[in-house]
Amino acid sequence: LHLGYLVQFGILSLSSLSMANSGQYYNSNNGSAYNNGPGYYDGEEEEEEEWNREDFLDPVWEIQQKKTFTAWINSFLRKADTSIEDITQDLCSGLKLMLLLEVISGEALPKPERGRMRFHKINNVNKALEFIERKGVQLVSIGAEEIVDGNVKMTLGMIWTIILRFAIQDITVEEMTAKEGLLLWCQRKTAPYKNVNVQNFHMSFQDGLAFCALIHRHRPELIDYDKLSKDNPLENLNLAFDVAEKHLDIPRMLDPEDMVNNVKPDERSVMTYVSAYYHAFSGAQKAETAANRICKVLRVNQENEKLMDLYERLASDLLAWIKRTRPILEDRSTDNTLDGVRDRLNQFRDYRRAEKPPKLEEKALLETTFNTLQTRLRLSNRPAYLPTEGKLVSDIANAWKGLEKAEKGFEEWMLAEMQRLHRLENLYKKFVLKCGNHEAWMEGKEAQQQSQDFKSCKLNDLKAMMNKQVAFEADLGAHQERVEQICKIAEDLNSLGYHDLDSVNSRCQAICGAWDRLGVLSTTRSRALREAEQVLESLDQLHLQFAKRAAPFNNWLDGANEDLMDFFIVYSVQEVDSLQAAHSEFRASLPAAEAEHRAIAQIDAEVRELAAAHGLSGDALINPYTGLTARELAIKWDEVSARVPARDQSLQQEVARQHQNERLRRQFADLANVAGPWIEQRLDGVSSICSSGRQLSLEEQDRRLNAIQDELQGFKSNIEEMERVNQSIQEAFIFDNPHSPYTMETIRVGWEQLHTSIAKALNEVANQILMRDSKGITNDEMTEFRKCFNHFDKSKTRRLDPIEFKACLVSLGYNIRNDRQGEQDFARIMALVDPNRTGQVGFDAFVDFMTSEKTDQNTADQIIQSFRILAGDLPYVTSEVLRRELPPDQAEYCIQRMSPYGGPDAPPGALDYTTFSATLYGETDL
Amino acid sequence: MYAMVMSPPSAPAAPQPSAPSTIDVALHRSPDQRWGFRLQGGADYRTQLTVMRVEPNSPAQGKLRVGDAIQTVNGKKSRQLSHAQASEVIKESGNSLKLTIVREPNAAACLDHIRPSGKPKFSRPGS
Repeated sequence: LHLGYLVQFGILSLSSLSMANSGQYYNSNNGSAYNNGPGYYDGEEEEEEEWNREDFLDPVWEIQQKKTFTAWINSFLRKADTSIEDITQDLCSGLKLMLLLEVISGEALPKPERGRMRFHKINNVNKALEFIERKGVQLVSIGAEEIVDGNVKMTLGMIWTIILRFAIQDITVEEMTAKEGLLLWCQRKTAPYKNVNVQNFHMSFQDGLAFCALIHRHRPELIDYDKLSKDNPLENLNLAFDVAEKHLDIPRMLDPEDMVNNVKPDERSVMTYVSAYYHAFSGAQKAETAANRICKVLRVNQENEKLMDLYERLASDLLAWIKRTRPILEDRSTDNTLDGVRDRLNQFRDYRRAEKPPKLEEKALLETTFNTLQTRLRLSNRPAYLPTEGKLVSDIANAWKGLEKAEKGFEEWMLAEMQRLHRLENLYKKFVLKCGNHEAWMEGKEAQQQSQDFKSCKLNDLKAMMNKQVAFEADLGAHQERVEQICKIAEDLNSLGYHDLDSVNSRCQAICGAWDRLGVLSTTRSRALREAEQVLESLDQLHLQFAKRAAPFNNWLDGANEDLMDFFIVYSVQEVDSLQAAHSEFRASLPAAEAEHRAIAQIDAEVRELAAAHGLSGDALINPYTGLTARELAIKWDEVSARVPARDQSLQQEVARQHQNERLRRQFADLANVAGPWIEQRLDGVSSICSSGRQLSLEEQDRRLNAIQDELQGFKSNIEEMERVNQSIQEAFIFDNPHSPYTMETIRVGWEQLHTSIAKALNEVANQILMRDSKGITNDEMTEFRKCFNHFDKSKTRRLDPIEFKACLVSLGYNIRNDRQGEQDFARIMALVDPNRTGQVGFDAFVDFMTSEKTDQNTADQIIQSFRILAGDLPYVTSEVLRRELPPDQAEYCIQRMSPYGGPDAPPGALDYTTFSATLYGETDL
Repeated sequence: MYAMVMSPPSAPAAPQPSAPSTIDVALHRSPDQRWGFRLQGGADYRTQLTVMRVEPNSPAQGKLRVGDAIQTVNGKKSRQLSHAQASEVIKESGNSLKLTIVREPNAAACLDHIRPSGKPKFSRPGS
């Protein structure tokens, strides 16, 4: 305490000296300057009742405040290249006081009066006091005259008012008073330091560690905090004050000895000094926030550009591929052969299996890229993305739809074409067989009908010839049907477009022509024979009998042979069963035919017996009624007998083939009946994950969706197996399958739909995460949004239709009336949440709408403001500042793009951040 | 926010809000006066030319709204114009300017009267 007195005296005498030097009014001031003095020094309390007794009694209070406030004032006055030495004397003219206020506030005060008279000084001090009062501070009991007179307590009280108003009042942490705010700031910043406990602005700072901790927290490189000890308060205080002065540009305002030696350091002095720390560090924090904001915007811009590039590239590639592919699918030209069509079908299978799936994935990526991009642009308050003309999402969708239509048409056409060509092939075989038989029968018939043999034969021979002619005409009638069948088949071949029609038609024409000629010839010959009948007479009963039975039997044999060699096409077990039944029926008729054959052979034998008995030979043995011989019939009979087992065998083969087909159907159905429900379950799974926000966090949804996607990979081999079985089925000409409700086509559609819906769901989740993070929505809020959305998503489509959405808004308290106005309001909301007019509202659009008031309005103005903070309030920025404040790549990005600042007073190298910021956003005020 | 201020009493009845409307707008100004709106986007930004702000007491007030997408400037299609080109054409347009805009019914601007007061209260689904 003794030392304090001495110091105080020293200072007082010093200030008296400077007062004496500084002005002519020293003497007149002298009296009032010491007005309170004696009481102060003598400790005569009763004379000083108006002052706080404790403060007044402790001269240490005054000394500390004088030192601190002087240093604080000088920290501002140095900006105006001046300073004070004695706080009472140097301010009393009012000039430096006014200057101080101008520097602190950055505002101009009224012009000071230059005179040196007392009333000039009073006027100037009053101007300063008025300014302070205009700033909303009530100056109770501080009068200009006392300041001019150098009243220490008045002066210190006024300076404290200024400090409170300009250095501390603006400090607000969480709406506390300025003092509490500053205290809270200190507590938070020193919280990690165990040996520091800030409870007040006096004792808590006495050991110096609190100052060191504040510096270390913000600039750890400046102080080796771990080496400090509570036991070296002087060392700690000196270290903090030195470092603050040297590195933080905070002048020394406290005296370490005062801090340590005084029982209780002066609260106002410590607060003043600590507030300088706060401003130094919060300035740095502001710059950091500004730099972060700039980086964020730059990054968003660069990422958006990347997404746009990606979208454009994907769209071009996809459209080009569709343009190349469609003509191939729309090409219906064919060489009209089964092999040709089979090759095309194989090409199509390769397309479906290998070429299309990656394109489908690209399409999904394209759509998700577009959604992500629009979400990001909306969140950063930019206009909507406008793809190059012809590459709009709707263009892609239309092109894709066209492709799928072409695809479907192509496959249908090809299967129909295969069926048609297959049927044609069989029809042609039938045609060739019937023609062959008929042509064999026709062989020599024309010549025979033209023969003039009856003119030189015997009566019997003539009669035989006549009978033979009758038999021939019957035969002719029987063959008429076959010719008609041939014509009918040729006609069918023509109408179905068989590829080698020339040969078909010429052969058919030849047959018809010969047939017509034969008809005329036979009529002519019959007439000639009847004319000769009168002349000739001869009849051999046996020959006649033979001829009568042999001709129909022969016809039967021909028919049977033809039937036995008949080709068949069947598509089911039932059909082949009915063929077998017909064949059995035929077999049942064989014994009767055999009896007939034996009877005819018997007649022949009788002829021979008779001839032998009567010794006949030569012409008499020749049957005049028919060209048929028993031998011929026997050969044909043998042929028929031999063909029956062959037919048995081919029918059995067909049965086996149909059973094989049935196995294929079962095989396919077994796979499909597993795959179908599997896919449906996964589709349900995807949709339940996405509508299950109640329990699942977005990250969990993302994980589960990815798990299903992995499952999909594992299941792919099943689909490939099905494609293989399906190929076998198509190659076996199986066109139906009653054992499964699923076709390859429905499985493919489901499979691709599953792929697409997972990709979509993953994208939605990613966008929700993006939105949640960028809007600062908490997980609880997100869950509430999800619960509410799901409740109204009655159809579980993960989209709300307008009616559901409206009900949802109304339940949330939106006042949408049931009138025209309400309709208009709702239509506006729909336009906002569903800009593409899909008639549906997705979850992200819903959240976006619900939180639209929360959106940080991201504009060029904010970036300009951020650059201004970095630039220290100057209208330009230098590359040094940019390199100091921003990460290297972002700094270079800015430096390369900023143009030189063109305003007045710009140093060389000044850059125009205002235009640059506007360019980032593409904004112009017009 | 501006739209509330902008709609002058003489303005025609609000356009059908259910669909975006295409509107021809004619602006007039005196020499040396600015049009009074902020333009954002353009072909070089690959975004729609869009009105992002309208200044009160300017020629644009009451004619343009935030969010209006500009389709033509003085009768010429503006889709291919860069931001700078579009700005230039509009700046150099003399004392009258004709724009064709597509206006999405601007929900955010006009919805204050239907928003619930305070934070939305979630009804408890299922209860």
